[in-house]
Amino acid sequence: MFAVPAAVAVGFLAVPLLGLLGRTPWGTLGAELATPRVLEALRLSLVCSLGAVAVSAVLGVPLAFLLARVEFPGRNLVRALTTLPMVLPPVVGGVALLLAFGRRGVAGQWLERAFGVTLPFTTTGAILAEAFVAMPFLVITTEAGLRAMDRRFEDAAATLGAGRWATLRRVTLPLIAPSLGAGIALCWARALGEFGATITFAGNLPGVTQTMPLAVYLALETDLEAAIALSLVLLAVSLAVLIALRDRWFPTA
Amino acid sequence: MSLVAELELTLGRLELEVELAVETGELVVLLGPNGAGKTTLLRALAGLVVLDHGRVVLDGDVLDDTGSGTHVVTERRPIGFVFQDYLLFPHLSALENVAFGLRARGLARAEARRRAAVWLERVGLAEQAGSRPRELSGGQAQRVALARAMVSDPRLLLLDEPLAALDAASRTEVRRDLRRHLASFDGTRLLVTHDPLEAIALADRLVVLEGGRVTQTGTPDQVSARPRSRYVAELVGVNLYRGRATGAVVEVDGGGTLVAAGDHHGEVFAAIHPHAVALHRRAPEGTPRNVWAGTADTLDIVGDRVRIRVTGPVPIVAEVTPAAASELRLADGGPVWASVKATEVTVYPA
Repeated sequence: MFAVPAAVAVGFLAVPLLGLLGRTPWGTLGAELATPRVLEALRLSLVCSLGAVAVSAVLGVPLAFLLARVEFPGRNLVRALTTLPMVLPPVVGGVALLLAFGRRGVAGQWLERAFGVTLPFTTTGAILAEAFVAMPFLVITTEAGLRAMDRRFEDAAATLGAGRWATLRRVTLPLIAPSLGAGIALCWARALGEFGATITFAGNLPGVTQTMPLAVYLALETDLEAAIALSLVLLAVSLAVLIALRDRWFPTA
Repeated sequence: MSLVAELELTLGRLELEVELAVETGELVVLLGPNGAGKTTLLRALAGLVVLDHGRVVLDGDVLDDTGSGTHVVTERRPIGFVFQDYLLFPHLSALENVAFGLRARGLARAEARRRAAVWLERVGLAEQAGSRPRELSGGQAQRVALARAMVSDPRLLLLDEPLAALDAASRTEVRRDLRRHLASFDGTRLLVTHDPLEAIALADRLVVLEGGRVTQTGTPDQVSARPRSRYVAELVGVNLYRGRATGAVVEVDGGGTLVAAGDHHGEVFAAIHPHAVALHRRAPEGTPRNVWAGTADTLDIVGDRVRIRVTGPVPIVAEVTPAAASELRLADGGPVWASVKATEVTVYPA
């Protein structure tokens, strides 16, 4: 009874991927990946996604601790806010960022006046756009790890003379390392694949903000082989993350 | 060197109000039923729980004083804590677990590991130094937890049900080892348990904690000889009554009278050991001053004796031989007469 619709579902998901693999110019793939345009996009993607992970970690881990450990009025609101970028259409996120941090935006004006910093259409802007959509993954996963952890381990560390920092470094972080690692992996994959927020806030400037997904979009018009090559790289990264986190999502029961 | 503590705190439904003093050299065991507040008390002494009122002084140093607002944080207290389920850090080896406290207090890595190795040797686990906690047996984990707590030479050692997580087979042997290690410790020791056997085996002095309050304290012998609460009476297996005495007669709370030997006045406890109770199917004549009619209720086999609960004006548990129980057909229940000699009724002030 389930077999037929399920088969259709599998087909629906598999056919596009098979189509991509089928149309890949395997022979010239290496050459495609070596063209300056593609290499530029690869480099930029790496820089921006890693930058986004760094921003997400620095801001997101403390937030995860706050949500997991501290009861404060409005906690649910904060948690909803943290989850919002996961559900919000990325292009809307981009527009919002533009309105806030754009040259005429509330924060953007202040940044330009105080520090001479402009964010839209810059690499930094791309990093922020990616961080905006990817940080929630880090926060949610890390918060779950913190909640699952037995806090009495921290009591034990205290009875052994460890102060708060020592306990954090030598007990808490190692104990949540699997969750933190998974959060970072998901955050990175999401940042790498971001399109809507990046193109809206940071634009599609080659060498500055043209990350891989943006390059794919552009290349579809003019250079299909390049588009396919880049798509393949992104697909490979996605698969790699899935495989790395398989024990989390597909535990062998 | 010693510990003096007066604590008052409320945690959820538990209201803890305790005065406690432990001399060095005496191993005090805190005994009580589950929910009595034993773990909470230990955590309060460790500084993990904040007091509402009170003072904790260790070897003359004030660790807690609500009056002056002093509260020494846990990590600065010279204590060692063995938790009920050990809480060995799963991501560290046995050696690293034991060395943790030394490194946290500033000792260099190599020296910390060296001292930790010495302690592991002392508890007989030199070969398990590199093992992760999940690879250790219950008894081994307990010994690592003990070594970890003791390696920094704490002045107060707190043990929360150290044998509870072990199966019955390992418990006796580990208890023997524990006794030996505790004996060689020269600071103040406080151990918590709900197991009376463990308490009696280890304690120099017992403190009985029930519902957040100390109901009794003394050596195991003193506590067994003169129970002051239902809990202890049941542990020891003695019939306990509360009442008012005038001379030799005790008016029992809840009805009934007991006649004891001797002269007592005021609020008292009266204790009767089950083996001092004789049961008859017909009203007995004779010297026992305490004779009453009741009904044989439930029957329990305890070792090579039979215990019968008798309901009546003075509810009592009697202990007889299986032969006697069978001869009187006590298993069938029905009316019985109980008799207890006045000399078998122990009366002491409440």
